[in-house]
Formats: sequence, C-alpha cells, structure tokens
Amino acid sequence: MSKPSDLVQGTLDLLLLKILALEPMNGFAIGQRLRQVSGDILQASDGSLYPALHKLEQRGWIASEWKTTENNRRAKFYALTRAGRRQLEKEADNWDRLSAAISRVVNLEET
Amino acid sequence: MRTEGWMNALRVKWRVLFCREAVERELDEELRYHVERKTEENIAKGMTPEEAWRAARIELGGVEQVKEQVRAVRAGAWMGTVMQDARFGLRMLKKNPGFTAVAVLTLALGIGTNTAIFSVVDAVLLKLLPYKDPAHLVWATLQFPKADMHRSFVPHPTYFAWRDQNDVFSGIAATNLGREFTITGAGAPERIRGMGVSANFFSVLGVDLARGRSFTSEEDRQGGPRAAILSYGLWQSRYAGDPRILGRPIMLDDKDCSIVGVLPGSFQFPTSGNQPQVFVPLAAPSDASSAIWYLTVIARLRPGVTPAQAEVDLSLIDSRTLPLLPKFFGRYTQEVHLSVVSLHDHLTGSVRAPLWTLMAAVAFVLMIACANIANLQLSRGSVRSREFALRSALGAPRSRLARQLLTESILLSSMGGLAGLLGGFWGVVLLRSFVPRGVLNVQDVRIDAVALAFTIVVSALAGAVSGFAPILALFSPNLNDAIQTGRVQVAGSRSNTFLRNLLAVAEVAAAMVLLVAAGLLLKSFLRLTNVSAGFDPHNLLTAQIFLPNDKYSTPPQQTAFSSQLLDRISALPGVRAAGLSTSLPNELSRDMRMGIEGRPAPALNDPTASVPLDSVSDGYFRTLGIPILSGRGFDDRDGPNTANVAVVNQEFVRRFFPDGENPLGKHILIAVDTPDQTAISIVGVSAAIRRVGLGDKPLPQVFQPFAQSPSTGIIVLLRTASDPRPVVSALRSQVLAIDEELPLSDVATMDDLLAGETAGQRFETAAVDLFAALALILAGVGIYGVISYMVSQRTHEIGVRIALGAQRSDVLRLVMKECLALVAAGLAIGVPITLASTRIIASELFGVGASDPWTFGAVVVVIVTVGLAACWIPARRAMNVDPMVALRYE
Repeated sequence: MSKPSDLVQGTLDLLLLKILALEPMNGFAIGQRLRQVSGDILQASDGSLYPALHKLEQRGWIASEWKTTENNRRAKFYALTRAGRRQLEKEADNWDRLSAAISRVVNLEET
Repeated sequence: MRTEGWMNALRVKWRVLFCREAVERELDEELRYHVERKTEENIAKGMTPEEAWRAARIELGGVEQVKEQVRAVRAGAWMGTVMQDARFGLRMLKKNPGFTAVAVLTLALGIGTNTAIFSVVDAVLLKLLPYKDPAHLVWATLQFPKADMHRSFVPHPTYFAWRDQNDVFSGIAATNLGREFTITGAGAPERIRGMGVSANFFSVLGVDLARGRSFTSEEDRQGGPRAAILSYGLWQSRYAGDPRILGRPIMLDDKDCSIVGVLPGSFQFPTSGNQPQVFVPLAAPSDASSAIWYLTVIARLRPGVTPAQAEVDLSLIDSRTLPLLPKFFGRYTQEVHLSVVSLHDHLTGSVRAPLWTLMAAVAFVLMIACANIANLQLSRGSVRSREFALRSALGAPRSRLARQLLTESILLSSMGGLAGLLGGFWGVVLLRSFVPRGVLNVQDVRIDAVALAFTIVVSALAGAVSGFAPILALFSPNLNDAIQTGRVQVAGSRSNTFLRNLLAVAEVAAAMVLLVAAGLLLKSFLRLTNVSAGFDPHNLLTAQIFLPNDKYSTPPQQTAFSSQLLDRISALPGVRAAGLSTSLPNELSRDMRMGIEGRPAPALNDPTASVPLDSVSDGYFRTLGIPILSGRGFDDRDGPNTANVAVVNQEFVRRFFPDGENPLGKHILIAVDTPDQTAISIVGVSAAIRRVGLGDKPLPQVFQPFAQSPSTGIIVLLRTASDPRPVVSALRSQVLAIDEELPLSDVATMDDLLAGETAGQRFETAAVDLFAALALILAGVGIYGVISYMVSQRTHEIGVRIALGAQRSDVLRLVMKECLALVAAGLAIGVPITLASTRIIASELFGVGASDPWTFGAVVVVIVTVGLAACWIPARRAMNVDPMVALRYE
C-alpha cells in the first residue's frame, strides 16, 4: 500500500540521495521537500521513505545523526557520505542516459 | 558527519544485529517525530487534533507496517525469521518434554558414539606421522609364509642389496627387532627396551636429535666404538635431564657404551609395540655367514616415486640377490613376497579394519536413531496437523511450514549433538584406557577442532535426515483435506503410513547388520579365548626377578638363590605349586641352534635348527599343568654335577624325530658346532603349549633343569588355590628375606597377561556388541512406535470389529500380523546387506565364517522376539478396546 509503485523502480534512491546532497535533513522534512520540488507529481508515500532511508544507510551512502530541530525537538537527520556522493553521480548519469534514451524512443516520428 | 561511508555502514549493521532494542527505540522515536510533525501540519490545515493524528498515521501507512518494512530491509533480516522459527520450535519442544527428552537422548547416543569413535579414527588413522614429510616414508619387507615365527622381515644381505642398488629411495634405514638390556651404573639396575638402528635411521625419518648427534658409520660397524642414544624419557628418569649427558658412559648388559645423543621428547619410534628407551648402532655384519636375519627396513621415497614403483625396483634386485642367500634359506625362499607399503599404512594396519568397523557400527546406530526421531515426529505430525492446517489457512506457505519443521529437527539434533559431545568427552576418556596400547598416536586421542567440526556436521545431517520424513508428509496432498474437514487425518494417510513403515523396516535391517557383526565378533572372540593355551592360566601368578651380575656372577650363586627361593615360595600358604623359568609361558624364549648327536650338523643359520631353550625348575610342569607325556620331568636328581638332561615338547619330537623314533635317551647338541657345544640327553617329552599368540601353532621347545643351566633372569610362577593376588606381598617379602636389595618386577596374573594379548579383539567386540544392543533397543522402540500408532489410529475400526463379534484373538492376530510384516520386511532387506557388509570384517574373524548360519539364525530369532515384545503393549491395548467407548468417541 505504501510501495512507490508510481515511481520508476530505483528512482526513489536517486531522489533521496539528491535531496540529501543539498543539506542534511530528517525524514519528515525529506517527504515535504520531495513533494515541494516535484510539484506533487512524484507521490512517494511517507511510509516508503523510511525503509528506503534505512537501506541507504546500511549501504553506507548516507549516515544518520540525532540533532535538535529549529523548534527544539530531537529528530534523526540524514546526510550524504562520500560514498553516497559517488553513488549519486553514478545514478544521476544512469538516469540521464536512461531518460535520454527513453525520450528518443518516445519522440520517434511515426511514419 | 564526515565519517567514511563503509565504516558507518558497518556500525549500523553491527547495531542492528547486536543492539536490537536501541535500534527499535530509535525507529520508534523517528516515526513518532514524523507523526507529530504531520499532526501539527494537519491541525494547521484546520483539522481537529484527533482527526489530524489519525490522518497523519494513515498517510504514513500505519506505524507498525512501516516498522515491519524497515525491519525487512535490515541486514540479517532472514535471521529474524530463523530466530522466530527457533523460538517457536523451542516452545513446541518445551510443551512436549517427554518427546523432547526421548529424542535428545536418542540423538545424543547416536552422535556421542560417533564423536568418540571418530576422535580415535582421527588420531590414529587420519593424523600424519610425526616425521618430516611422512607421506614419502615406506616400510619395505619380505614375507616368508613358510617360516615358523617371524614371517615378515628383511635378511641383512637383502637389506644391503637394496641399500646399494636401488634407484627409488633417497634414504634407506634398518632396525633390528630390539631387545631388553639391563642398564647398570648411575642408579639401580633396570631392564629397559633397546633397539639397534642403522646410522642414518634418524635422518631418514627426518628427526633432529635434541642433543648430540646420531651414530657415525664408524659406530655402525661390527667391532666399532660402542655408542648409545637415549630416549628423552630415559634421559629424564635416569639422568634427571643432566645437561652434561653427552660422553657419559652407560653400561648396557655390562658393556661400556658412550652416550652420543638424546632424542627429543616428541620422538616416537615407528612401531605399534612398546617404545624403545635406548638406541644402539645396528652394526649389521657385512658378511653373510654370521648373519642377523630379522631386520625391519624403513625408506624414504624419492619425489615422484610411488610405493608400487619402488616394489618393482626392489623385486628386480631381489631376483638377482635372493638366490645368493645361504642354501638353507631354500625352504623359506620357495615362497617369498615383497611388499612396499607406506609407513602409515604399515603402522595402522592392524587397527585400520577394527576402527572402520566401529565407525560403520556407530554410523548405523545414528541412522537408526534418526529413523526413530523421524518416526516420532511423524506420530506427532498427527497431533500438529491442526496447527499446520490453521497456519496454512492463514496464508503460511508450505515452504515456511517445512522450514519450521526443519528448524525443529535441527534444534533437536543440536541439543542431541551438544549432549552427545559431552558424552563424547567421557567416551574418549573411556576409549583411551580401553584402546589397546601400542597404537601409534593413541595418547593423542581427544576431541579436537576436527572432531568438533565432525560432530557439528553429523548433528546437522542428523537434523536434516530426521526432519526429512515429516516434511515429506507435509507435502502430501492430504494437508488440504485436513484443512477442509478439520479432521486429524494427516499422519494416518496412506503415503504417511508407508513412510512410517519404511522407516521401521529400515531400522530392523540396520539393526540386523549390526547384530550379525556383533554376533560374529563375539563368537570369534570366544573361539579365540577358548583356544587351549596348553596350560591352565587361571590362578597363576607370575613375577620377574633380575639378579644383579656383580652379586650373582657364578652359577652356584645363582643356583643357591633359585633353590632357596623355590623352597620358600612353595611353602607359602595358599600356594599349591611353584616353579621357576627363564621365560613366561606366553612369550618367546631365546633361540639356540641345536643338532641331534649322530646326525650331520645343521647348516649354519638354518632357521629350522633354532629352537627356543628355557631353564625351568623342578615343579615347573606341575605348576603350569603341562602333562609329561613320556619319560619324566625334572626333580632333585638333576643337579649341577649330574648328567645334563632335557625335556623336549611334542613339537620338538615332531620336527626332529618325524619318523616315530623314540626320542628318550637321544642327545641334543646345544650350540652345535661352536666351542660351547654341550650334549644333553632327553629324559622326557611334555605336551606343547602355544607361546606366541593364541591364534598361532605351538613351537618346538627344549627345557633344561635350572640347576644345570641357571640364569640371572628368573620368572617366578605360582599356582594358587584361589585368586593369586593376595599372595603377592608374601612373595615379595620372601624375596626380600633372601636378598633385601632385590626388586620383584612385572607382577601379574596369567589371566591378565593373556587378556592383554586379546585386548584389541576384546575392545572391538565389546564396543560393537554395545552398539548392536543400542541398535536393537532403538529398533524395538521404532517398531513399538509404529504399531502403537497404528493401534491408536484404528481404535475405531477395532471397536467396530469387536462390536460385530470379532474375538480378542482376532484383534491380536491383526496387530501381530502388522508387526511381523514389518519385522519380516526388515529381515528380508537386512540379509543381503548384512552378507555384503560382514565381508569387511571377515579378516578379523577367527574360527567363524563371515556368513555363519548359526549367527544369522540367532540374530533373526532375537529380532523377531524383540519385535513381538515391542508389539505386546499396543496389542494388549487393542484387545482391550471397549467398543462402546470407541464408537462413542466418533
């Protein structure tokens, strides 16, 4: 029910890495930012964020830290690691290639 | 936050695995924060707090569900389900303590015996010999099947030929058979075991001396300087580890030798017998006329040469040189076999077959144990079919149920394995004291990492094997029926019953194999120990006395001592007869070359002219109970100043007077053709006794009266009215009363000495019998389980039958028929398997064939009896079924 079926498989990882590349963030804020920047088009449910975040953390691409938020509450903040940055570059490249290929196919002139 | 990613990842995984609670708490907190923020956001949108909170949680997709998803992506998530299965399994096992106890105990027996026997196999058969590059060491010998005593040895001319002409060895060394030395000087005299070795012996083995050097070729030459190398043990015990030991003199048999080296404490002489304590140069004579014949040859193969290739090379040498051996060897060399085998195979040769037999026996026991557990679990399957039906209905895939069953099996076998390991430790201690001494490495028998790994593997296998049948049953189509009808039917299904019967039949067959093997070994052992030694070994005490040479140097001194001793011990209370000898009745005595007066002297070194010669006192024959067949034994008439006389045994007569000539009055020439030649006249013929190994034939023997040929080495023999042990202290005080410095050594009863000779067979027989008994009990339990389950399943049917007028005897017949069918099927399968497997122990059997029909018959009777006994309880239950109760139950 909370599977990101509307997202291309694997792209959630890319989005999370990209968002965290801008600044360290907690889970709630990541969800908000995702909706914000994609203009509500990318509908990843909040529930699917957490398994994805924990998975990325175990792979060593992001690291977590408990910090105090601006309104003085403790929250778990995630940040990109160096390995995560490399991974982000790789996945972004992949994405570029894939989307370029797909758009070439989609834009084929029908004869 | 600048930590390296992989380190952080490692930390996270570590925490997930080992700080489960903290990780869960943090996840909780993380999600709570999310819900709180979302609730605030929703309130800001104008919802009531209650609505806002609910909406936040719905949007998240359920807090618990998210947690579950997070857990699923965690490292080692699979371990979680295993743990869950294990926890559930443990709960199930705890709920059935009876089943669990029986299963664990059964498996512990099976696994423990395997662990214990494997640790012996590992130490004795699988470990490498403690020499450099031991795989290249071989033992080369000639076999002379026609010879009387030593049938496997290398005559020294052959050794020299091999040494000088071979192309296959990088080194070849020889030892003699070894003998006892009296060591004097530096402390009390002692008898120690010594061994002659060629100069290169230690370097061929690749052993470095702890101190000093090995023998030089100068020392390894007849008439060369006398040298000795001490074992570490002798250096410690006699010289207290004296660091300046090298060059010190040592008196061996009153000959002055110089100590040139000390062996390391780890050194083991390659023998399956006793370890020598001192080594002297072999000093083989270079000329064939004064030969020492009995050499043992150990060689190191050149790289890339196999024992078979070496055998070919040596046989070529033999074809040139064997004909050059002295003529009398003709009789021997009619049939000679050459064999070159790896040293390891040679040393373990006598124990290999018994050990593999034991290993096979315990494997059978474990198989039966596993079959029993499988059967027990199948019976329980009926009880648990409701549980499985329910879980299946709730969506558990069969693979998950199968994994649950497997987990439970492995839990059981792990507990069994753990208990078995504890039993194994105890078993190894027991084995170490039971295993016949002299087997190389036997002191190394312990449960080490290898044995531990073996136990773990065996336990896992046992778990998998015993869990297999219930899983098979799970996949039978009847599970769906059970779900639909809700009736307890699973284990009663046809295929399931077949499986259970098959297991019981297999148990019977396996038990039969073991029982027959045990029966054959037992019968063979009884045959062996019932072989008449030719004398009565019961209530016979033996002891040894060595008279020091300085105090008892002359024959009159020795005779004075022996006659005084004989008088004193004959008068001891409880002693019926006493005698003295120069060797134990079950051991070889020294050989002397003998001829018969008036005949041509035998060829020099003709082995058939060598006859064991012993001095025995008046009373010797009476004490041992050896009958004098003709003529007379020794008595007071035979003194130092009367005519020299001899008693010979029947075998001697057979060899030297084959034509029925009367031996009485004939003269034997002892030490014929030497300056010491003496003529003694035969005054009596005694029965022959078996001296070497009960399986061997008796040898010729000549006896001289002690008074005419005294000795410093005296064997005391006491025939007592009852248990001879209480007499020991009286014997000791009598010896001390004559000479207070004389020790009495090697005190033992003849029964113990003979038992020592058959200790190997005794051990194997006892162990296999024990395992067979275990197998029989387990198989009995297996049959009981199947039949009693059958009865419980068919209670209703039986009730109907009784209600319709069936007699109790009909019911009994019904149950017994089922039982006998199982047993008969097991026996039918068991017979061919048994015939095939007992062939491997055929070589260990004495006086009984591997397919002895009596043993097979007895085993069949035993198994049928046990089978019927196992059926008795369920059969009675069936007969007592009350039709009313049985029908009402429906």
